[in-house]
Formats: sequence, structure tokens, C-alpha cells
Amino acid sequence: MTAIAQAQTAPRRFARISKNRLNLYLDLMLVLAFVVDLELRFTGLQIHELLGVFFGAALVIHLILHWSWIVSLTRTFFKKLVHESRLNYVLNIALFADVATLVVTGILISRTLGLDLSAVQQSSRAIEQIHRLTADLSLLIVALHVALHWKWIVTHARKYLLPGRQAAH
Amino acid sequence: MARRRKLNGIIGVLILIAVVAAGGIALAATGNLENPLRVLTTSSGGGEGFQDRDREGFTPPAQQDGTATTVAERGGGAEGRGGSSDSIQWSQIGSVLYDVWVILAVTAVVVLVGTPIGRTIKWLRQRGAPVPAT
Repeated sequence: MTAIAQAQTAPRRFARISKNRLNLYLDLMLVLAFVVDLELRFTGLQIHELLGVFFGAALVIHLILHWSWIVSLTRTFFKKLVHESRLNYVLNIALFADVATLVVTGILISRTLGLDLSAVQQSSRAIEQIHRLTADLSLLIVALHVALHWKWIVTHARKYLLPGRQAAH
Repeated sequence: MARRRKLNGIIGVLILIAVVAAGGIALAATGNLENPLRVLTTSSGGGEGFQDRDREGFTPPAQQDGTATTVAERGGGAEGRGGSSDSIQWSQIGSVLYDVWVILAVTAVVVLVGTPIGRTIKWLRQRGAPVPAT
């Protein structure tokens, strides 16, 4: 057998991961990081701030992975669109605004990240209040976000996480 | 096939409701259950949010006076409770489980309320659809 034929029949060691599987794993990590980071008394301040920074980075990756959906829905928002999609879009905008505010205010009032933000020290109390308020709201908005995507989560969790079905994929 | 999928969906919803109910009972038994809508009715200045709630089973004696604390005070206060602010306080795991419970509970409510509403809207649209010409 020639070398080319051998290469074609050899098992592919580095199979490409499907986008849905990647999304599922990332989303599960995001939810876990979110609920853990939300409880300062559980993590302690240093882990809370570090996890918050990583959560912000993971959120950017999450947005990049869903960028095509964001763009297409933005273009068709005011045209004929299913009401559920429109509600989903509005909720996602609210979630983005809330979490972005949460991450930015968290960085501004951080005490263990080594950032010397003297310019915001005078208004640190107000920023802290905003951080707490957005944190409280984020749980409800995240819960609604998960609820609206429940079918997708269940479908792909069964497909990629259950042992029997995982072997087929 | 469609009937099996529908049955699987119903079973999934029932499992979700059972998990939410069991989780709620367990959290209530350990003193970690709070009204998740409470945060919407209190101000950010003086009221209690999710992070301010006291829990009977997990609140250390020094903080049982019910006074609201800031994030900075709670972060620094962890050092005074015999633990380091850098380490995980496993005694507060109930808070994390409560947050997970809120997410599952809201999902269950949306599924239970949204499904009949969606079907009603679909039914109304079908009633209002124009009859095709013969």
C-alpha cells in the first residue's frame, strides 16, 4: 500500500471539535464560573477578582462564537421576526450591558489585582454600589437567558454528555 | 418518533420540576432559601441583595445582627472568621447552590408558563389565518 493510501486510511488523531460541543462546554464553564464568582463569601476576595477577570475573557469568547447570530439578528430586528427571537435579543442586550458593567466596575474597585486606579478612589463607594446592584440583577437575567435557551442546552447536553450517546459523536 | 420526542420533553420538564422542588426543600431546610424576587423590591443603598442575605445555617455568630455589609467589608471580614480571604470558604457552598437553584427555578417557570402561552398564540394565529380560496 502506498504512503498516500496509508495516510488516507489511518485514523484521524486530531478530529475537529464540533462548534456545538465547544459552545456547550464553554457555556457550562461560564455558568459554573458565574455562580461561584457571585458569592464573595465562598470564594474570598482574591479568587473572586481573578475569577471575575477570567469570566470576562470567557464572555468575550462566548460573544465571538455567537457573532454571526448577533449580526444577523441585529439586521433583521425591526423586520419580520419571531417574537421569541426578538425577546431573546433584547434580553441578551440587557445581559451584555449588565455583565459588562459588572466586570468593569469590579476591575475598577479591585484590591488584589495590583491595579492602582487612584482616579476612581473618590467614587469607589458609588462604583461598589453599582457593582452590587448589577451582580444582584445578573442572576435573574442569566436565569432568564438559560431558560430561553433551555431546549438547546438539553438537546446538546444529551448529545455530548450522556455516555451512550457520546460514543456516537 | 415525534410522539417519543414529545414524551421525552415532558419527562425532562417533570425531572426539572422535581429537581427544583427537591432543591428548594433542601435549601429551606439548611436556611439558604430566600425569595429571588426580593432584590427587585429593595434599593441598592440600604436594602438587601443576594450578596447581603443572611443564612441561619451559615452565618457566623459575628454577623447575625442582620446589618448590611459592603463588598469590601465582607471581603475583609472573611479573614476575621478564622479563614483567609484568599481561600474558599466551603461553609458558604449553600450560597452557590442557591444561585444554581434560582437559575433552575426560573427555567422551570419559563417552561411551564411559556409553553401554554406559545401554544395559545399559535392557536389564535391559526384561527385568524385567512381561509385559502377554493
